[in-house]
Amino acid sequence: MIHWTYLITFYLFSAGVSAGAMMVSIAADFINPVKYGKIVRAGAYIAPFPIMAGMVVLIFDLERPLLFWLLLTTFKYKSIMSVGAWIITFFSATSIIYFILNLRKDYLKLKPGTSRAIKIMGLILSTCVALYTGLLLSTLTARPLWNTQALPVLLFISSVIDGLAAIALLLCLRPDCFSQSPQTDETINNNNTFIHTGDFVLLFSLLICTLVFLIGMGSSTGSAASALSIITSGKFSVLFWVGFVAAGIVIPLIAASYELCTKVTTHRPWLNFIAASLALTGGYIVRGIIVNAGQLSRAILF
Amino acid sequence: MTDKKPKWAMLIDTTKCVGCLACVAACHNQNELLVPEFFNRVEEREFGHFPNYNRRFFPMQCQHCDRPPCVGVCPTGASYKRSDGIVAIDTQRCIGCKYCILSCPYNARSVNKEHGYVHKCSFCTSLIEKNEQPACVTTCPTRVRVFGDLNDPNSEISRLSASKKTVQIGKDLNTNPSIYYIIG
Repeated sequence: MIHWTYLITFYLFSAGVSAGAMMVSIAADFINPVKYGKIVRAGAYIAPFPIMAGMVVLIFDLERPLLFWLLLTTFKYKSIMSVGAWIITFFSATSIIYFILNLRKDYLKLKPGTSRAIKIMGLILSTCVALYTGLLLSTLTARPLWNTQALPVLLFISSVIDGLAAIALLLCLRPDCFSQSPQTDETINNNNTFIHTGDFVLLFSLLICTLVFLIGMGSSTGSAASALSIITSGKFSVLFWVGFVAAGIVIPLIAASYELCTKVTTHRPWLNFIAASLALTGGYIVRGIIVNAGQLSRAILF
Repeated sequence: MTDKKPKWAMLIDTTKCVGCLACVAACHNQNELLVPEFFNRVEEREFGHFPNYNRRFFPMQCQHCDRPPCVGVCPTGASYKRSDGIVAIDTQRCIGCKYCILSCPYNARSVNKEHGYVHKCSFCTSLIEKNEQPACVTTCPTRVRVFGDLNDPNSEISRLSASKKTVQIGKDLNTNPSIYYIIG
């Protein structure tokens, strides 16, 4: 029986996009804030919003939404959901501060040390959020499809890809990224190279991780093997192979490799747009498959 | 009786079960459940292949685990383990996130459709406190179920649960259930 519906899928996806966008933005800021300024700003502008929508959706997925505040009066280190509720609260607060920090006018007038501390905290918190979405599922021994070590890693990498894709998408739609600095070929190329390099490394890692997940599940216990068959040959198989593996990994990976290899200075926003949209769709689809198929999988008791 | 606190447990002898579902009806009645909700159920399991073939009725319910996954995952502390071994739910604190339902390998929990909290078998706590037995135990016409205190060495459950024939199901999921089965 399905207890967690598409609302949870949406929540896991939105938390992943937010965490990924924040992580990529702060990483780019630490590497070179001038050269990759567009990525820094785009990431900061995206980060707070998906997770806020996700939190609203999460509250309405509860059977008793009016009691949601009990999550924030309790702390149980053994419950991933309790720890996660605190992490996403602090993450949202930090992402809003980071958002204001990156607006064109500096409204906060923070000292460099303070803003650096906020960035470090944001990096740590976004890592925690991206990890938590997978750990939330993988710690349940009752659900063999979820109870694997590869799942949190898979969702973590997918989160960073989704964040990067959301940034790429925003840069396709608003190439100036709400700034009035002139658009030069050099800035476009710098930011594109960053995105494509990141995409290439991450998508390749996701491909490896998916392979490890599939082989590991297939060679594990009987419950795991029957759980795996739900996604590889059951009713989710087309979505999994076409929606996630082909559209979500392979095509964006080819697009990123093509962009990196050809070294053409002309900007190809349409290719970025398609690759980023496909990567985001794949990220949503894989979460939907895992959330739904995981609930159908059962540990064999005797 | 000993002075020690009780540790409640149940033994289910599937070789005696005829699948009359009286325990399900008694449970439904005792806990005043709405129609689609059940705290216990009787599954049908098949063993072997023809001609060496066996089909058994298999009563299932909350196993009142000693290491209950549902208590560990509950974010608000609504699910808890009582000192007498019963896994209980503080319905006032339950927000209905359904994380515990997904964490349960025995599929023992369900959502109360009327109030939204999660509920399940409580070993009929209100009856035990009156020194009575759970409704499913007293109702069973073939004496499939034996209920008692594991801390009392003279109780029937202590003697039966120590026998070689009994098993705890799903034990390798690190739950250590308080329900013992004779599968036969």
